[in-house]
Amino acid sequence: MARPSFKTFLLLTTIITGAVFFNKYAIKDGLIFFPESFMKLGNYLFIKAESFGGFMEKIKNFNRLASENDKLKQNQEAILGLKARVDDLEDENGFLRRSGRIAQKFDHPVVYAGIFNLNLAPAGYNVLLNKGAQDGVSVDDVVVTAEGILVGKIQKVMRNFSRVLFVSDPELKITAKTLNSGTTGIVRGALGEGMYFDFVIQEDEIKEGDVLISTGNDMFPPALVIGSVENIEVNATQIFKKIRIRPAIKDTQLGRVLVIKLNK
Amino acid sequence: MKTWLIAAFFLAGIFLDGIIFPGFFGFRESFLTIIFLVVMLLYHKADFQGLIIGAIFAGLVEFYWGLKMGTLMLPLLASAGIFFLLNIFFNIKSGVLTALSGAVMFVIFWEASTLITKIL
Repeated sequence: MARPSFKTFLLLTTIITGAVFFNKYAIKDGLIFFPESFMKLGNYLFIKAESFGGFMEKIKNFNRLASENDKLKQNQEAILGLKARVDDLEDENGFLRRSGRIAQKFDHPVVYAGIFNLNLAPAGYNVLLNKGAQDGVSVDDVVVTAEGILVGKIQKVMRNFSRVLFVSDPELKITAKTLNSGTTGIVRGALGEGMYFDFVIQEDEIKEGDVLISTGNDMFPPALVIGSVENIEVNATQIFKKIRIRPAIKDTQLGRVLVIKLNK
Repeated sequence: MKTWLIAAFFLAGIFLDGIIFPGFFGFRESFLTIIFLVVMLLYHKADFQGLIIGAIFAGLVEFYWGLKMGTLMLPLLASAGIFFLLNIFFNIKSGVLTALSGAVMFVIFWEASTLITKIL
């Protein structure tokens, strides 16, 4: 049954291995490009699907949203007081930045882009953006939503499209801190489980619902929203807490994003 | 099954995988395309047509996803190799054995692809 095609198998293996080496060493991965119209159509469909959808998430999130709504109402009053304080601090901060000639946040060129494919491949998430080298996008540029939620960073750039290392990809690591307590650690992706917040010792102050933002101590700009603490496992025999994070991108639309060009 | 019908299913699979599942349902961990490649290989029992179509489809997906050449084609051949190997030791005819060999082929495909990505 399967034996007669064994020769085909060997022949194909030889041909494909040869082609792979030819592509890698002779033409230096020159076989990758993507038709513009495909990307436009893909991104258009993705945005349309998102605007009609979010369907399963809505059902899943219904209970969570109801309790969150109660909490938000309670927090609203406290936030009003904080807002006044933040305004004051912003003025002071603006003055200090100007006087210290520190670059304002996002004082980098921004490229407007759209996602046209998002799925899981063996090498991790396969998130494709419709902007590439010809639009000035380069490797390690940071991808965020218009609300400042971290989507990932550019992993590979082709002529007219690029691939994003998604925020919940195990390869992605970001130094982060909690918004209120300032507890710092490293966030790493965990695929479908979301993310984990590592290196937080048992004594560090952290609670469920705390929002995590980037610290700016690595190549990511500061104050990008990463996610919120979903679950904390405390084990007295361990040095570190096991903290699971719900990525903020789970609750946001990804059809349109911004690429912050860190490499000018 | 006719080749054009397989191609239509394949295109529908890519469309569902990359746009509809993440966009409409918010499901971002879909790997339907990879499952499709393995199931198609299993359905054709890794014969001449199955291997040729599988290699072409894997190549197209690499092209579409902007992956390096060989990231999916070589794992497809690895899982076909496993199918040949399993056929030497087992008589794969029942549904249960077919499903089991499909699962083994899928795992081999996934792991081989991860390894090849690191190498390439």
